[in-house]
Amino acid sequence: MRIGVGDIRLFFDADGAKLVPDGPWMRERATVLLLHPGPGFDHGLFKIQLGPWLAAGTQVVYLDQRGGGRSDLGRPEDLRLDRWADDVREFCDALRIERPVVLGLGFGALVAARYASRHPAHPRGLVLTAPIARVVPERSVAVYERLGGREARAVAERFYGDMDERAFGDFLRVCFPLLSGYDLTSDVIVRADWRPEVLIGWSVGESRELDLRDELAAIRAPALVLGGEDDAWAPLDSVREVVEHLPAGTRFRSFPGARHSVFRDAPGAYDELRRFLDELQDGQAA
Amino acid sequence: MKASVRGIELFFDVDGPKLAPDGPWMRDRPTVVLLHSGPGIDHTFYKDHVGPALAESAQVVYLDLRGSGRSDWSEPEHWTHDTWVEDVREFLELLEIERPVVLGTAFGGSIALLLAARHPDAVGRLVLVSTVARYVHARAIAVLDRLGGPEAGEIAARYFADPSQATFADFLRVCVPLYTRNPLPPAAIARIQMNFELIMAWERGGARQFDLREEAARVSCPTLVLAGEDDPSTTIAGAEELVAALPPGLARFERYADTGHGVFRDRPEAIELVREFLAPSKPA
Repeated sequence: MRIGVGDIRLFFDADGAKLVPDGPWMRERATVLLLHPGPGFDHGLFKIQLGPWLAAGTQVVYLDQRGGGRSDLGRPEDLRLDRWADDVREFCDALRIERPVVLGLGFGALVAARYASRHPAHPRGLVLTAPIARVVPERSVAVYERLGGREARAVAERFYGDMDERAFGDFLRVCFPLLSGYDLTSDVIVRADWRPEVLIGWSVGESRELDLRDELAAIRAPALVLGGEDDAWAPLDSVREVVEHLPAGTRFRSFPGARHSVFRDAPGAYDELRRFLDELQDGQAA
Repeated sequence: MKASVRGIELFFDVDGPKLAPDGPWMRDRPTVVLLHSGPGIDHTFYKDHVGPALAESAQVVYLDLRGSGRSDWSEPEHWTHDTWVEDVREFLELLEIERPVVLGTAFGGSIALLLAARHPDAVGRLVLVSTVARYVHARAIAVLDRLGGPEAGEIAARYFADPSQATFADFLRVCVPLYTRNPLPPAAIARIQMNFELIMAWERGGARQFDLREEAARVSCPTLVLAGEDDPSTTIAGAEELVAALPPGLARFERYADTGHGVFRDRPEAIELVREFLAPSKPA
């Protein structure tokens, strides 16, 4: 399905009913909105494991964010974090989705954080998976080198430096596969409906000036932060930086050996997510 | 979720993804839009069996029609077939749901049929469950008489002659339990958000005027018709009349012996036929 948001249309998919029979009642389940990595990618990677797992107990909404997947590209000047964040709010308003739990991975976690700071009363909860507050190239380069040796280091340095098409190609070939414990190419890339120019535009553009540290304190929704200790996109120090700037008491867990695909690489992440969702549910009941 | 359509908000729910990983592809699964019976009851009776069974191989969209359930109830002057049909058409357009399978039960089947007849591009396939071309009270009374004895027939006759809170109460007590062999559990009835005013308005007006025979001839998509031979509400005679009004050879007609209203309560296995009938709308 697609729905109009501003001047574009956004693709979304859903799984798991919102209302389920429960004795003489229809019980309302939480809505979990999933924000994919990227930008320029699509929601497909969530369909492999996390989405179906969530759909057993919640209504999952998969969104292709502006510029990726089956959603419209829109105007080039709208490919910026504020717009992606406000799209989340306006998408929910268009479908009367109230108080969603918003789960973002990587870039999707940045969108989730910006959305939650601009619309603090809107989310019921936030799950920031592999988030960063800013890009610190030397932290990422160090992890790429640890996982992929000197070639990975050199390719990553060019990706964070004067990136051109060649450097981007090398990055996809050498560094990208290091972001996951499983075969990203056959599991994600082959099925994705993605626009590399959007990812490149972000990588050489806004991402380089990004700094979320100050605005994280404005987030009011209960948050869970999950990180992979071998994630080159969101190195552990960068994830910790996010946690330090979020309100005190934010739950944080990192997983040894997990890369950017935290839920694929660390089954323990599901236990954390289950606990977090249960607590949100109890909080609502109280 | 809700969608803004023609000045009101329609509640809908979704189960089962549209796109599913399938080897190196994302495969498009069919979309089935479920239209509830009534009018004045809601989508929830599909949530026990029909919806979850179909969600295994399709994206199921449950819709509460105007005046029903969690959708805006709107005003009595808008409780017409023309309005309900256009509401559904615009709902599909708004969400870019292209050529879905539309499955309707009883009243919902009549909306599905009119949608397919008036907007052939909007519907890919049609499943009409316990749907009749028109309501002939004498047929319903005869079935109730046969199943429940003369008291049931008389109570139904009184209700049809004068639909009111008092006659409806007797009808609910004596006649509705005869609708199916396997009775609807009280909990399932409690879950329905009923619009009593609409139920009465329909019984006094819409149900009497309504005749699908002419428009049924304009349906052009593949159609599956399921009917129970012991259905006191939408009778087998009414279903036969509907099938006869559809273009020759278009419909597959399945009739079930010892089966009441809604078919699936007495014949849960009939859902397999519907699953076979679902075809992917297009390759991914």
